[in-house]
Amino acid sequence: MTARKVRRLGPTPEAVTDASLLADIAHEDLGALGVLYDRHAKSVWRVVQRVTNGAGDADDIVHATFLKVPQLAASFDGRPSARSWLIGIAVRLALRHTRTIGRFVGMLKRFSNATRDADRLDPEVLASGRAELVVLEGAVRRLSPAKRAVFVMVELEGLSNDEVARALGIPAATVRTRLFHAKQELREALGRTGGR
Amino acid sequence: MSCERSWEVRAIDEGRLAASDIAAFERHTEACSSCAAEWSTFEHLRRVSEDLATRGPSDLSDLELRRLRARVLRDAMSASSPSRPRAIAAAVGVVALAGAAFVAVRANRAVPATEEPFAANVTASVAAHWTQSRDRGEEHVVLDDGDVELQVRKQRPDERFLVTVPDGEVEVRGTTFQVSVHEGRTSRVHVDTGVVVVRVHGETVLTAGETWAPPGDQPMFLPPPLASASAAEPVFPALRAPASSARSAGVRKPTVPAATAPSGDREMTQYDEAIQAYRLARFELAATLLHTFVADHSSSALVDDASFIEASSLASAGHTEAAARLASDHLRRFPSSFHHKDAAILVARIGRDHDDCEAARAVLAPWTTASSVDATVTAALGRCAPAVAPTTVAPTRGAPTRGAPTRGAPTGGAPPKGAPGRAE
Repeated sequence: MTARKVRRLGPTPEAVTDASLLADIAHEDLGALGVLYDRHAKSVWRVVQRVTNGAGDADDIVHATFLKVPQLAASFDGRPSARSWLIGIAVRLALRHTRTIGRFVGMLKRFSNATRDADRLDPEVLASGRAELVVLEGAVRRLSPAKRAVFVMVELEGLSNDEVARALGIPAATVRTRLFHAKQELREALGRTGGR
Repeated sequence: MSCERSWEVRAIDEGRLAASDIAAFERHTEACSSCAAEWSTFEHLRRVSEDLATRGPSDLSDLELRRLRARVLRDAMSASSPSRPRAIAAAVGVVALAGAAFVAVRANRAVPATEEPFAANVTASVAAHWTQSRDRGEEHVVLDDGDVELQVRKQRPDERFLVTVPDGEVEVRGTTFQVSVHEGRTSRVHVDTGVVVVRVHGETVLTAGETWAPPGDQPMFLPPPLASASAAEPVFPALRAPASSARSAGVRKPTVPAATAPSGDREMTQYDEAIQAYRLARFELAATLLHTFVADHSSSALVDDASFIEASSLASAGHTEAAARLASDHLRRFPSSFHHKDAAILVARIGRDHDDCEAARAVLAPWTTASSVDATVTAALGRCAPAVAPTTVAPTRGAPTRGAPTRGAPTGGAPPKGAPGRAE
């Protein structure tokens, strides 16, 4: 007889490492999946929201990400935190998602909106010193999905180049190149608005 | 004009230069305006990026986060659920214990090509008397006697699916469930997935894992209703935890003598015997066996299930105070339990029956703050329900005071976790 295990983690699940949780998930412990979700769901959702330019699909992608975890848990490499690993799964799903025609059309629309938003800074925003932020946000939205993903993961989420390379399954040199070009575009955007 | 050392800006940004090289470059920028400007734009971008990192997109609300969590766990659970044949085998096993030989009779049998295909697969006992018909989107299964299990595909808006029983009917929107009729009376309706409406002696909505039995009846193999449960309430408890539901009587392992069995087998044997007793409505015995199981296997993966079912057994045996104490203890010990809501319902019902509406509402507050309150919660609150005011009832994390199940349910804390499929 086989039956799904629902092992509990005891009164202090905070003390359990992500690696241990993933080992339990690999043995179909859905309680552990709940704990992993509680730890990282917000962070993963935030990255997805940025990578997809807030297309409204973030919930579905986070859902798909955590549903993938039981299948992939056995291949987790045991690093102390699963955050970058989860973000990697989510970003790959997000990039695949945005490649569809429908998403592309949606992105074009949002692109034009973002451009308008960036060009129309209201005086209050300018006065509050948030102008540069708005410009940068608009410029990040206009980056290509691949460059945007790398920029978000490295610069906004604080992952190392190597972590991003591992998470996305690309060479570290590619991460550096994409990041460099992303930054070039962003610097130009900031420069155009007289940000400095 | 570009300086030949401008590449060092990128190298520094990527962390490829040693501290001494960075210091040398900084000295260089004092004399080189080109590199100084280049370095300045990188620094500027870094500062603004740091600012942007702290101003993320507006986060998910706690409610959205919980809903998404429930969705993830529910779907993960169904993805790893035992196959349907196993579930059907389990159902067959239960019926076999009743002495009724059970065979599979598929209802979507030879249907002329010009007729509509049936929406349901019906698995029936050989002794069952039933018919199935369909006309212009309305399908009827008429069950006069015996046991049937139905798997009904999701219904379109213009479709209806009804099971007509001698004393009422069951309406379905797309689900898997079982109906039993004996001596002209409906004795049991159990829902595996989906939602059904039972219209027998009033109307009752059943969701996944719940079982209906007629008021005042003691059907074979079913726990009797709590002494205090109202006539229309479904029988409590509804076992819908994955581990326990997968271990229904029909899939028991061969008994291994306790003295010689490996500890893992002993654990399973002990657990299965307790569940068997529960299924046979021998609640006193089930409670005793489960209590022993919890004591003997405190680190077992099944302790959560065992502790909840022990509380359920005690409640069904009429030991309501002890059941409430145990359910409270369960809520405290297993905040992520799959049984969290059912344990809370148990505590709330007993609170309600002791006229302690405040405690009943408090323990169920996490499920009454949603825009729609499901039938099990409404039924558990009973007469306490009208006074529910979501904005004034403090949320609880389901850890009522030990030994005082009907009073002093704590307030504060986040809503419960681990109640897949129920938060949506």
